[in-house]
Amino acid sequence: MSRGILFYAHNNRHIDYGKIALANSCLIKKHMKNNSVTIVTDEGTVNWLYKAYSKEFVDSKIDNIMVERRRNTPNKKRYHDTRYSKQVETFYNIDRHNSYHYSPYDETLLLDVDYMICNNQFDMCWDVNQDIQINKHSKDILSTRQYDEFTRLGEQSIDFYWATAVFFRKTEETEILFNLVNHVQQNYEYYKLLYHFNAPSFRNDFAFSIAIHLLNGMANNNFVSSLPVPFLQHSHGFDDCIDVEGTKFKFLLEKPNNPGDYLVCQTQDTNIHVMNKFALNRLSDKIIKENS
Amino acid sequence: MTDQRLEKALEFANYRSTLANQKQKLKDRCEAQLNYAYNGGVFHINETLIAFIDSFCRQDKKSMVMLDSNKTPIDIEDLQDFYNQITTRWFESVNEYHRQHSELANKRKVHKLVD
Repeated sequence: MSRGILFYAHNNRHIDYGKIALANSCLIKKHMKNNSVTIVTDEGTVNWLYKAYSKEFVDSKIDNIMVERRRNTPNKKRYHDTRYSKQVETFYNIDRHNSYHYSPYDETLLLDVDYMICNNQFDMCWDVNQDIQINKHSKDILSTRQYDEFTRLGEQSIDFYWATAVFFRKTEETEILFNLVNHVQQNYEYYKLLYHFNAPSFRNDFAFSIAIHLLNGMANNNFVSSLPVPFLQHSHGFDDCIDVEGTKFKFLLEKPNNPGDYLVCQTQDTNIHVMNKFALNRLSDKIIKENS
Repeated sequence: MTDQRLEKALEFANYRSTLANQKQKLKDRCEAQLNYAYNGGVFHINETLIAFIDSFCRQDKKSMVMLDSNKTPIDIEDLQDFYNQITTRWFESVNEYHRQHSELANKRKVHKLVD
């Protein structure tokens, strides 16, 4: 059985997803046992990456680079770099429904490039007899902060699942799931009305949540099981990631009752979903240097 | 209250918030480490699980079926091996949690909490 990790990395004008993927691959090579990495990318992204790092170095950290055509899309996303700066940019990483076909592995861990891997807990995925594993729960790294948008799709809608980390084995059921995710994506406006949520742009999390709900027979059921970690952890776009030292990430977290004021926080050996991509871009070179 | 005393109080409040959050990070890390995959199942290691398995080991039971965290029945073929592995993981995680928690308790400045 082949095992590995799959990333999607399509740069836009502001975010260098390719470099973030390389930084995360360095972390994965360092910490995980099942550390074969494949990225699905486009020609522009990979050429840009080769300008910053030699082909030899990139190939030593990323086992397969699949170059696909970057599809033009009107899908816009707001990228925050703390509360003081934001950019509206095209979000090209919307081809996750192809993961079943793109993945060269029999057993794949599909990860967001901004979910920084700092320990080996995800190695347990491959030891668990569940063909699809995805988490409902993610904890904010500021423990006193909680946003409802990550609990349900809308106030009266279904449970939210995090497409940030999805484990799957190539089975008939898994193929149905990914086909359904594709169907939801193609008919997103309809599903927005059906599931009572208002999202200005397409979100992979929402498409997976809807597909899982449908395959559960429109109920909360156990078609999928949780990853072998009790929860994911995330920081927001309003937060800043200011430093990294090995697996220690230092953040400035915005206080929930005092916007624009920050609390310092450090994580160690903890997988963390960093939503401020600008901060990750600033730190990518350091992450690569410290972990290669 | 003078400005200086108020400033000191706010500084202390900031320290307490940072300390509380850092403690929570340690707790979360320990909790994550206590998840353990065995023979196709996932188990959350806690005192109850350890005592439960220990009670059957003491009765010389060699194997048994357990419900994992997803309530899936998992055949534990070597009960003693399972017991050894979960206790080792439990001690490693909890001892590390204790060490780091004690270190935090002795730090009285915000910048030292995240050093």
